[in-house]
Amino acid sequence: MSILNSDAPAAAPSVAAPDSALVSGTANFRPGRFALRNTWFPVVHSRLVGRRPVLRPIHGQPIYLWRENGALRASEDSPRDRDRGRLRASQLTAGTGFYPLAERYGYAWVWYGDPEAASPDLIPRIPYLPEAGNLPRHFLGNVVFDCSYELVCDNLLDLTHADFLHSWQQRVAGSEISVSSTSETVTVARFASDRPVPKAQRRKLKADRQSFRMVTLVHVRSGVCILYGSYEPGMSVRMLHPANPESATRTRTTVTFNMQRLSPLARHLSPLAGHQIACQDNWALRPQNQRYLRSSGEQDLNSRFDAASLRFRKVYQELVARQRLGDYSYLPDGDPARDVTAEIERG
Amino acid sequence: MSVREQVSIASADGTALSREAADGLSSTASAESASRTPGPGREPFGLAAGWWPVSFGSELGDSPRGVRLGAREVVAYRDQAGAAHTLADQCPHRRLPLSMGLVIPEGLQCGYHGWTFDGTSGQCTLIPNLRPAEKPSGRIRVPAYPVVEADGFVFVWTGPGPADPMASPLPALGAPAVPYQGRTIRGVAKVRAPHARLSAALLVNPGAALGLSWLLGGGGEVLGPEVTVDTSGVTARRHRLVWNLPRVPTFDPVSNWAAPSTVATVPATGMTVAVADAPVGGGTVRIVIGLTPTGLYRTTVRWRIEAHTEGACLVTEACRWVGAARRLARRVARALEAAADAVETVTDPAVDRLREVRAAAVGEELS
Repeated sequence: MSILNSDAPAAAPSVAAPDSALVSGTANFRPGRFALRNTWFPVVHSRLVGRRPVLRPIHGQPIYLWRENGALRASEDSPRDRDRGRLRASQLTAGTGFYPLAERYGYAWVWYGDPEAASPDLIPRIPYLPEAGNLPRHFLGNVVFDCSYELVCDNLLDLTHADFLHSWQQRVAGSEISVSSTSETVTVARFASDRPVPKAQRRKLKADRQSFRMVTLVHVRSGVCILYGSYEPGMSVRMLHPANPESATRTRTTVTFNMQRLSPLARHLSPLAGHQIACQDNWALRPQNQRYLRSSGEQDLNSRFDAASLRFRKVYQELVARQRLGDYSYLPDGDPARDVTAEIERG
Repeated sequence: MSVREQVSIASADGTALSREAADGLSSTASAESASRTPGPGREPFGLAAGWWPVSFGSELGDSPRGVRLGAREVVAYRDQAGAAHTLADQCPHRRLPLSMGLVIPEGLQCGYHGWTFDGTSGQCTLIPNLRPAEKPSGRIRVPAYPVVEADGFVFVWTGPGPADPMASPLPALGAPAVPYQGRTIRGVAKVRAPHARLSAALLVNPGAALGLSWLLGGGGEVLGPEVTVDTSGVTARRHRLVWNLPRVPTFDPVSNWAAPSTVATVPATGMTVAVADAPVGGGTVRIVIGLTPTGLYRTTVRWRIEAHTEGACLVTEACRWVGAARRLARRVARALEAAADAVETVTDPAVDRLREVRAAAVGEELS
């Protein structure tokens, strides 16, 4: 039992108790206002980096990535600026100008925080992705949202908006939601059985009804999200969906799709379909973000479907509170590298 | 360590600090505002209490419309029975503007999670996925504002509490006993001028401001003004020269053609009605002008021209063509802006009375 779980029911309304805590501890939730430190960000798909430098900011800090004789480099300055002698050297790189860097799961992971604390053991463990990477190009996507990463995580944990914003059929009867968390992650699982199959897939699946399970696991400190969806009968979605906070108004998600039980053509098109869905999300996230940024302390109201979103806010606020006091450490239950396969598959 | 390095360390920390600092600042600000407006109440518009025009009735169709009024954003929509409603333009759930939603039989539905709100009370009527026996909590509501439709405009009450039954959205002037069913001309312009100056400019010389000097007179004042103040507003009667032509000093103007006009304004909102004699066809022409303040220096001006006799329809037809030409020449907003600028230096008894009434209202509110 995690530290958080032990006292969670007091603040987050339980799924079974409707209206128990309409206005929750969300008044101090201020997305885009605090940069959480000491974490790895999968800033770019490493196979997409060549000799030409790419800029991938994190929390407004520049990170230039390029390859030098095949070896990946991550610096605060572009190589051209380095040649001209313009050198940034912040505390994030301990004055060296070069960020701690690791290549894993096909990503270049960059450490944001105190370089002395950087350890590859703190890179989140991603099930379903080979450690060496080498995934085909059509597995990779790159989606930019016009909002802070907290709202993207909130959106991914909120599994009920899908029925509405991405609505192909509106109501889902009998779906159940379960939420769990540690001091670093929030996991939400949603099950529904006997749900109508979307019209377009009916002929192929030869079925009218299907059941599904969707699991979202969010690493709160970095916004790295693991999405797992399984439709019976139907496809299985295994995605890594990082939400890299470039600024308070911009989040880059360097997505890896790993779709199973799908035709090759559909697998090739999935990064494009990802954009279609992201576009619908961005339609809501963009105006939402403005209102959270210029918030004057109003509180959000919640229904019993928002348990995961509230748990995220709670974990996030506790991290912010600890980091304000200078505590950037990971608690024993929050090891990012723990194996989450069972957690995801069990739900 | 070089100076450059030290500077860049400071800037690197500065970003994190500025996020922190911004947080600190806004949290004190939020504590203040939270104590001012606890929970969903009626939010302050930063405007005088009154009926403020937010749109033409005909602008509200099947989809909701977001309007900025003073310091607030409101959403106006027409329900399926045809009644207009206005709510605060923010879902209390995840803050999406409700103007991005849909009108359904249960009310106005947010586009993100489908929470639906009743237009009259603001009460949440529907949350998708609830069990059939479950009802949304009575505490889930958005601020709803009283609405009235008159003379083709939709008005929103901005005062605290229910609308004052004595307050009238329009000045009592020139409304025909039997409304004429013929053609009316509408116009809209977004103007870069503050609301108070525009409303004074329309009281002084609506003809020049709206490009209707051939109807209301836009040049020098020949007769008047005759100013009266009553409960419904400030009224000014005067005759102005129709042509505002350059004049050789000490000589008579080239044309002495003057037009009479009567202009009345509601002091709080600047809702203005001007009545003029139709130059052809007999009868009168009535012009209703609504001002919607959308920022400190931004006002949306809407006007509606109606003729009260068959013959005066020629006038509205002329207004249509002249208006189209002015829109093409991009002169509509420019003329209104020039009029608002000119009012700063004008000496006019009607404007003096208007300012007196406004100052008295503010004093009353303070005491």
